[in-house]
Amino acid sequence: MAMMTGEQYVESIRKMNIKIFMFGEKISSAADHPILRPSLNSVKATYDLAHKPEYEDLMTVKSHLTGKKINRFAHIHQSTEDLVKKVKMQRLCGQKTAACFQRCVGMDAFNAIFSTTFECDQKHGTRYHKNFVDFVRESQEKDWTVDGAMTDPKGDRGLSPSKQADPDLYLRVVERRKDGIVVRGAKAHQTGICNSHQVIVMPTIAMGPEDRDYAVSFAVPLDTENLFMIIGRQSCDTRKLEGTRLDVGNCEYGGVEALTIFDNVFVPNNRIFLNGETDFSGMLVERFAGYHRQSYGGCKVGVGDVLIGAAALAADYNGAHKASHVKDKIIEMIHLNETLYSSGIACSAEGFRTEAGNYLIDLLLANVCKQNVTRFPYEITRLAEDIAGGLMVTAPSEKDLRHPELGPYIEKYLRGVAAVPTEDRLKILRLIENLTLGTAAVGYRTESMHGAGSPQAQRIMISRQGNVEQKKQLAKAIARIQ
Amino acid sequence: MPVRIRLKYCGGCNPRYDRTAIAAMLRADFPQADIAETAKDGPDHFVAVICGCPVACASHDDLRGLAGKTILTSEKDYGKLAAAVRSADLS
Ligand SMILES: Cc1cc2nc3c(=O)[nH]c(=O)nc-3n(C[C@H](O)[C@H](O)[C@H](O)COP(=O)(O)OP(=O)(O)OC[C@H]3O[C@@H](n4cnc5c(N)ncnc54)[C@H](O)[C@@H]3O)c2cc1C
Ligand code: SF4
Repeated sequence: MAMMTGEQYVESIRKMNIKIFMFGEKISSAADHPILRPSLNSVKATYDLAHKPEYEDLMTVKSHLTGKKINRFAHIHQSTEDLVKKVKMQRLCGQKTAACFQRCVGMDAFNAIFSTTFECDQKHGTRYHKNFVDFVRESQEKDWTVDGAMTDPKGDRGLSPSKQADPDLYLRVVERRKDGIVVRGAKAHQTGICNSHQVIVMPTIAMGPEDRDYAVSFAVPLDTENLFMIIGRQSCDTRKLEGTRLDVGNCEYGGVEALTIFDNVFVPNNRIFLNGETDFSGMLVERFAGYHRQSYGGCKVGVGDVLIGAAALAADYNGAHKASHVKDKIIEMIHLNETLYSSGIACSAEGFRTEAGNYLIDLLLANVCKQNVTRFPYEITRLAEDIAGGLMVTAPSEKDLRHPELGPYIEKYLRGVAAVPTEDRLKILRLIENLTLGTAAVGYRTESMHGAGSPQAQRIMISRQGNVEQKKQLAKAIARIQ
Repeated sequence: MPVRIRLKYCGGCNPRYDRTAIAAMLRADFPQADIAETAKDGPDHFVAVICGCPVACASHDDLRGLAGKTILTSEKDYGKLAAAVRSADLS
């Protein structure tokens, strides 16, 4: 199949029997549930944009495996230009959805596993790279959305996988058979998994020899037997059940996470990408995290673009747009947002070729990028809330606005500048609410903090990659110390 | 044979103007021209690479116009393109 249209993607998900639970009930499909549909719509946008001439230069690329035009989300990066265009594509998708569009995790897993399996095969004589390339080729041909599953529940953070009180707190191999393996465990916080076709599982930390059963990577379709997921709650999620458009802030797009359980899932041999080689677990984690830390220098910037635009409109509608401090706050938001983008672009431009032939980002700059992401969106949201005013959290509901008796009072008393309808003002304030403390804040704030690793994980990488010894030599040379 | 103009857009990550307005202006000013965003059989007379900003990162090495290629990075560049199309001798 060539690249899917958005509608074909929706139908393909609807046809799958993915086992999703929410509020204690089984959901028939993410395509048809008001809380889940916005998440699916965000991924749908990645298919629709790829068919538009004015976006295809970023959204599509020629596959190095087949020579065919594919969606960039399924691409193995072949140059630093590819790495740069990846970040630009993510910024674009963030701008168009103002939400998490979910396909980055799979793309980042693709590129990390591509090079890690190659190097693992070189050392151990395994055949994982071929398995993986076959999987990538099929993903490109079928234009799959692939979830990247790294994070285990982890139980006691002070203990390694094999030392946990419950051995399933990190996903592990429980049986090795001739035709494959059986795995048990869970992956937490899985972005977009309820509307993906496949899941790629990876280990979540570097491991020692005693953790052999936990050093496992593989892919399975999401309607595989014994695999099911429980959707995570988000603040204000049930507003989506009320059937109103205004109160949700972003009525079209969103993102959703789920706790995904692998309750003795069979994985055939040809879909295994790591099975016991603990010495490659750390490399896989480091590379995946590196790519994903780069990703945030694009996607969060695109969402930031929308939030900055919303704050500027809120000031316009309020009549405060000429105030010098408001102008300066908008400048500060832009400065912070473009600083994030700078490191996303920088770590891409400084990327390099791996032994397998694909391109990896500069890990130091990617970690600097993500460290900034753990901070700047919080400051950007603070400034947006400052500019928006208190009404972003105290405005009456859409039902009250439409009410024949109450509506006119809301129209009258909640108007800002005379030329702008009250409803438009409320729409922008609800969008700001959505991004700063509603459902989209899951992606824009807390995911900025913890996604691709909590802040300390980047500081460890920065300390490793920071090249302090060379800096000491520089200082000694200037100070004339022998 | 009508003049054929092939349009190629950058991916539009942060465009400083509405890139599709260029196509609309071309279609209004050259109603007889065959203006397309996708490849067709046979050669193109012109290629217009419409980029959202001066970075001009659109990939266009594979595109060739018999009478030239114009890279636009702002709305102002439309004049350059229109003049080239007007003055071309395609006989
Ligand atoms: C919205 C969202 C979407 C996500 N999407 C995905 C996804 O699609 N796929 C995926 O695989 N993962 C995903 N993640 C998971 C993300 O990678 C993890 O949240 C992150 O790695 C942190 O793990 P944790 O949440 O278990 O926090 P914890 O590990 O519990 O961290 C909490 C705090 O404890 C500290 N800490 C933890 N362990 C130690 C230790 N051993 N020593 C010292 N300090 C420690 C941390 O530094 C942090 O400050 C997502 C997360 C979020 C919030
Ligand atoms: S030309 Fe400018 S706006 Fe267009 S994709 Fe490149 S950087 Fe973005």
